[in-house]
Amino acid sequence: MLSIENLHGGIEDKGILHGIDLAIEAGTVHAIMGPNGSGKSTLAHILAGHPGYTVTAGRIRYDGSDLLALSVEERARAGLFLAFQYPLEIPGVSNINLLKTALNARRRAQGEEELDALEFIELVESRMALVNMEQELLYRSVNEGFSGGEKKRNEVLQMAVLEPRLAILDETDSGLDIDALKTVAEGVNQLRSPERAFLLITHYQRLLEYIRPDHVHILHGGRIVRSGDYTLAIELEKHGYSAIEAEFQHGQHHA
Amino acid sequence: MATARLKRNFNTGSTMHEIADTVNDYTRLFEETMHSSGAHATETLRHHRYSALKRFRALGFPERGDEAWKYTNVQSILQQRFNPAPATVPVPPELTAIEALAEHRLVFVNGIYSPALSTPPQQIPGLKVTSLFNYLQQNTPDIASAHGNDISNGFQALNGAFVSGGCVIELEAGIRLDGSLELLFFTGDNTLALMSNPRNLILLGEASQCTLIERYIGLPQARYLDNPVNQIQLAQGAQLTHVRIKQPSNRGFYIGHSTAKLAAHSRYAQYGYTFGGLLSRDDSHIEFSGPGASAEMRGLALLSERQHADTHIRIDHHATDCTSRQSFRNIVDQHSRAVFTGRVVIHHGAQRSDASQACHALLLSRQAEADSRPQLEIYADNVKCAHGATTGYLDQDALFYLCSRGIPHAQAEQLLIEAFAKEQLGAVAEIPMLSVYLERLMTRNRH
Repeated sequence: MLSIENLHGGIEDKGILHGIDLAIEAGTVHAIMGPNGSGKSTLAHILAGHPGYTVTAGRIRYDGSDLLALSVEERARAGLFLAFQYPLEIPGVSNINLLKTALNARRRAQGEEELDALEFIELVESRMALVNMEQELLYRSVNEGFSGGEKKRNEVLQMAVLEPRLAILDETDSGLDIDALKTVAEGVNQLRSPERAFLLITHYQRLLEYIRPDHVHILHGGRIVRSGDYTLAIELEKHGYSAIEAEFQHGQHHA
Repeated sequence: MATARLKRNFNTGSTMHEIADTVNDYTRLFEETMHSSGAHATETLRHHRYSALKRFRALGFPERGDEAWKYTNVQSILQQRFNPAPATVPVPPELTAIEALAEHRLVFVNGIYSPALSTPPQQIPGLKVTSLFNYLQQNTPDIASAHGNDISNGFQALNGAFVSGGCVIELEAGIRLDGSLELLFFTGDNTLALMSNPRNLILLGEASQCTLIERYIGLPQARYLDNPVNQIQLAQGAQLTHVRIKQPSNRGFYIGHSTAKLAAHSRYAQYGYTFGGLLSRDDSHIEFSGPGASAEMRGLALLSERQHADTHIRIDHHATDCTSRQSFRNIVDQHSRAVFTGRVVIHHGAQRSDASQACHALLLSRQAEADSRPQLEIYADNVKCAHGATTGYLDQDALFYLCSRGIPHAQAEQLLIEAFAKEQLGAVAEIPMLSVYLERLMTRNRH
């Protein structure tokens, strides 16, 4: 579904990623872990197409086409979704308006009819149950005055309504208490399907206790330095990044 | 003071010579029309008109260097000559298509009351609506002073000299009107360059309450000058919600002037919306004459092409414990320009005055310009005053967020622009027909 080859890039002229290779198949859950500054969020933003990030080398294929040639909205309409680490507050745009506009834009792009008001509300209500969200939040401005947990749940709600094929969750666990974390994880788990892939970006192994990944990658210095299964996350939790770093630097030294 | 200037040739202003020529031409026109409009020219009215003309000749038009007109050049108005509308005007077909925003509506075509198009309120106890000319025949009110020394600029004086009609709304003490009253001013002719000079008096008795919608619509493509004057008096505890919608034509000029005198504990809320217009300027002067009164001034201008809109507010806190709030937003696209000046004067002894002013401008093109001038003059020592102004482009991160949900870029921009505009609906959002109408104007797609 997604293949990243030798990706180099960063913010403006500051290089952050130095050769990422990653392949994600439909139906799988990948986790990328790594310390601050390792390039996790940069990778997420480049995938989503943030204009502030630049790609200097490498390529990204998504469903066989060149992802980097697509605009932000084209990527989204092709089924890519980024759950933001810091969801934006947009005063004056109601949550429900955002959901409806986004869903109908996608349906139009796919040659489907727009949902009428009733169909739409039914869909949203069924998805809200997934993330245990208060109805009242639908009619408020997007994320305005939401608590940290509400913002993250709102990201998962958008994901549930838009039904992406590849969902990237950028530190969705940060700032969540344990109950909110469980709710968010449950929401994600219910969206797992053979057609859908997930890329979880996280600092901590905790989220992975609730959303069990098929593959775990460790990002360091803009490269994936190790890949493995879920046990890699447990190992990382036990020994910390410093052990991995030491090993990596040691390995590099001998290379 | 915060001023954002991007790129614009410096205001060249008008020369004394041009102003004098224009004043002389209007004086000649005045003499001609005074003779021909004998029908309803009562002695009182004639007197008012002559004294206004005298003021007009003394004041002339705003000229270069006039601080209050620093960013608005009226030269394009002076280069044209506008005529009062003939008394009998055919109803333009465009007018019949304009839906009413209230059950009761008074319609003025080129400043002249049109009974055929109006649905005036009838037999509402405590409410009296009179035409200005009838009112002046029966009363020698102190509001006549507005034809004399209260006049602060030439346009106001021009209105006095050529006053074409208008209405007087009187609400008795304690009366609360359900629903709204609408005043619709439709101006413009396909062949003649017309001017419209209505004058309205809004007089609210003690503890009375009403909502007034004042709307100016220009005939598309028509060249005209809308030059209205409003005088508002709120007695103790009265409450007026005053919604003002201006939709001048893309060749039309609008120069408006409103004064409101607020007695103790009265409340005045003005919601002003300007959509387009070649050049518009709106002056509002609020005076607190008794303690505990409040004024809320909200406004929005949505401009494109080479449109220019200037909002000028002056609020005089003469009494203690009064509150004034100003909140303006300007959205400027292409080569348009919006100007906001909000001046608050807290006079000696007006203790515990509470004044705030905020102006936010959204620039949608590199050629657009927004100027914001919040001004405070404080002569009392126990007051609370705040002001702020921002000018900026659309939030790129918010745009990215919306686009990352699959919303096309242009639609995402539109959503953010509408969101910025709709904040200015405030309490108007609660008025059903009106809010739908305004939202429709705010969601008009760009270009």
